[in-house]
Amino acid sequence: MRPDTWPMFLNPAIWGFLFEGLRETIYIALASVAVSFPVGLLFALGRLSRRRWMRWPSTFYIEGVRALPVLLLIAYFGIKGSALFRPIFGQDFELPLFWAGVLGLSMYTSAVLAEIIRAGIVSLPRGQSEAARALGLSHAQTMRSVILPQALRLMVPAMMAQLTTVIKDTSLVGTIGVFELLRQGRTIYTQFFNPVEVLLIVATVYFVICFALSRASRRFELGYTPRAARIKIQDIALRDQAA
Amino acid sequence: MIEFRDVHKHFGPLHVLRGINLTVRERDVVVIIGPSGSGKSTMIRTINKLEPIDSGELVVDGQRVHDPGVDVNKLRRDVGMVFQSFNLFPHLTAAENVMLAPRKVRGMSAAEARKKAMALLEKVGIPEKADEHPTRLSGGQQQRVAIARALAMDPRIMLFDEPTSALDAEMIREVLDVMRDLAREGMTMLVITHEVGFAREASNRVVFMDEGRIIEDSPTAGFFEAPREERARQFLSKVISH
Amino acid sequence: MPGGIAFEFPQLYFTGLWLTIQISVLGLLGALVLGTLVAVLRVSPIAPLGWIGAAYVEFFRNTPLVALLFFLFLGLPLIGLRFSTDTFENIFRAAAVGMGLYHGAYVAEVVRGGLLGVDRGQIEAARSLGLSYAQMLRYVQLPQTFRSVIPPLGNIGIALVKNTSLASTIGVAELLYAAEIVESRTFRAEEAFIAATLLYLVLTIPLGIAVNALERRMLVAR
Ligand SMILES: Nc1ncnc2c1ncn2[C@@H]1O[C@H](COP(=O)(O)OP(=O)(O)O)[C@@H](O)[C@H]1O
Ligand SMILES: [Mg+2]
Repeated sequence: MRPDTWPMFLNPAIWGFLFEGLRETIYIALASVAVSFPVGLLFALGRLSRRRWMRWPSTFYIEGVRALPVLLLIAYFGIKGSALFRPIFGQDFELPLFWAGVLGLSMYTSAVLAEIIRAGIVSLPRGQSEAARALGLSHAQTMRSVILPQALRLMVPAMMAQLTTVIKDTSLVGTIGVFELLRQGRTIYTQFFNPVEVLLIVATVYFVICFALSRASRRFELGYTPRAARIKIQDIALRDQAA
Repeated sequence: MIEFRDVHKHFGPLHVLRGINLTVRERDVVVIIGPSGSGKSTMIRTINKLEPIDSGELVVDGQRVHDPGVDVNKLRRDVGMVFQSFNLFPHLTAAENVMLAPRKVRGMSAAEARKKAMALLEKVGIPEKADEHPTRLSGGQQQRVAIARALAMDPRIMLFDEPTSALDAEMIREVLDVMRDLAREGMTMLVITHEVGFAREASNRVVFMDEGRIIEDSPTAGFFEAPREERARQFLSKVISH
Repeated sequence: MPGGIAFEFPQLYFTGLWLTIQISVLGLLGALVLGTLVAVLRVSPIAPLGWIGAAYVEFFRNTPLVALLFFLFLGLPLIGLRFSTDTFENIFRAAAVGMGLYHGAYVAEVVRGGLLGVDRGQIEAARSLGLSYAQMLRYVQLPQTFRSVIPPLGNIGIALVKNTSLASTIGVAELLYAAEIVESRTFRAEEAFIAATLLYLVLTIPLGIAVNALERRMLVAR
């Protein structure tokens, strides 16, 4: 660590530069969650469906995607994202790298959210859906008015914990050329040859955000979570959050 | 109103209903008793098709329940059900629990459904708890909300599956009182319960089940004093301790 | 045949696979050793040791692994720490160390849960027999956690195998790196990535099946 490299951090321009990266990081994370939540919900319901033509493809998607490295998905969409959309948007279409990254990240996150939501649904006592069906509510009405409101609420902490993973994973989107926080930091240290200092600062920023989020997620724990759901959440936390 | 003809039902290798024959007329209040595992719950759950049947015939309110074309949701509107574990929806208040089906199934307006819910909560004696969530209610209060919820669809038949066995003694009374009033008003009811006092006062028939069969089906008057069947006698001597 | 392209570039794909396996195995071993140590710190009766353990876990769980990898391979040499004078060897070791440090935090949480799950009576019985705290840990508490921690550790193993792909960002020619090189030479992106995908699945699917089977066995046993 060279003593002469610290004073440069007195320069507000450096912080402005890092802040732009942070803003990009937050946008990527928010866009990914916004895309993956509805998609994940659909796949969760698909996997729980009694119809095989819905259940099998949903299961295949969820398990297949969860078995892949997120970075592989991001790298693939970084390279081929534009070509994939050209049949729809025309020959000149260029998928912005930001959206290529969001696509890769969302694909993975949707599969994980699907599993979290499914765990919430199956952990509700069977009496809940029976009582609703006995009242004459259809399967769809039962899901919408009785099961989902409870399952989603139960899974709020797990979903928030997944958000911290998404924020950490935005750093992977830098590898395809999106200027998120880490990528901005790398730009700085290639100019000033001070990776130790810059990486420490960048890591601290990630740490503060993710730590605060994971603390906050614990405050949303609403009383009793059924054992099966807890096991599933731990399973997801280890397999899908350690990314 | 309800007619079972030689109804059979299996759970995998388990033969739980072994040829049920039972006719329930309008305004009948039938109490069903029998040892645990004898198929009582399964039998009444076939009435609103929470459990499908394997063979035989089951007609409820003129509809053949097992016909592929039958509209289950319509059938279930005519049959209210009350569970041992209440099964109130914890994310909704008492009033919202009662309003849910009228709103979603009948498409009633919020104001109208609310009015109806309040009237029903009044009827079961807890209008003051309308805006509480179920976790804040005692077991007896929860079960009364559950009864109000089932009544909200104006059912023609009410099914009760051990409605008081999860309750403490003092709460059992308040629930049974509500059920007794319903019986008096002429509701057709099937009640699984071991509350002999309730059976004596409110029911007109007692059905005794064992091992998936109906062993005895007698008028209430006289059943508890002198059951015809030996197995029913043995069972009663165990249930009635005094 | 899907993945057939791997046989057109066996050098890239199969050395890539071999590197992925090596980093996974070394990283997992490191994570197990480190994680167990940190877990022991966290449950130790000496408060400051507990804080150190907690700080370790929270730090690595809340910062991105790529940032750690960059730090290990670029930052450390600048403060005089280098894993090897050989450039290739240096990034390879940085990747393995990074995997161990990062996943060690997750291992620590799992092992800590296991340690706390051991009946207090066991610990008191051991201490009353005259075993020291360390002996009690070694002979009574740790052995009893093995059963309950194996399925969750399997899940960490799966995460770790997938995360080795991040080593490509610092230049380790593992599987994903191989796919990217092949894509840039052939422009056959689908084939190149599907080949890598299949090779990852060859590693993660058997692990996943083993974990699920173990988990089911444990659920029955309990
Ligand atoms: N969903 C189910 N799957 C498998 N077996 C069941 C199911 N529900 C009930 N059973 C079995 O069927 C038998 C009858 O159960 P039930 O109708 O609940 O009896 P009761 O209400 O008289 O105690 C019991 O042996 C029970 O274990
Ligand atoms: Mg029963």
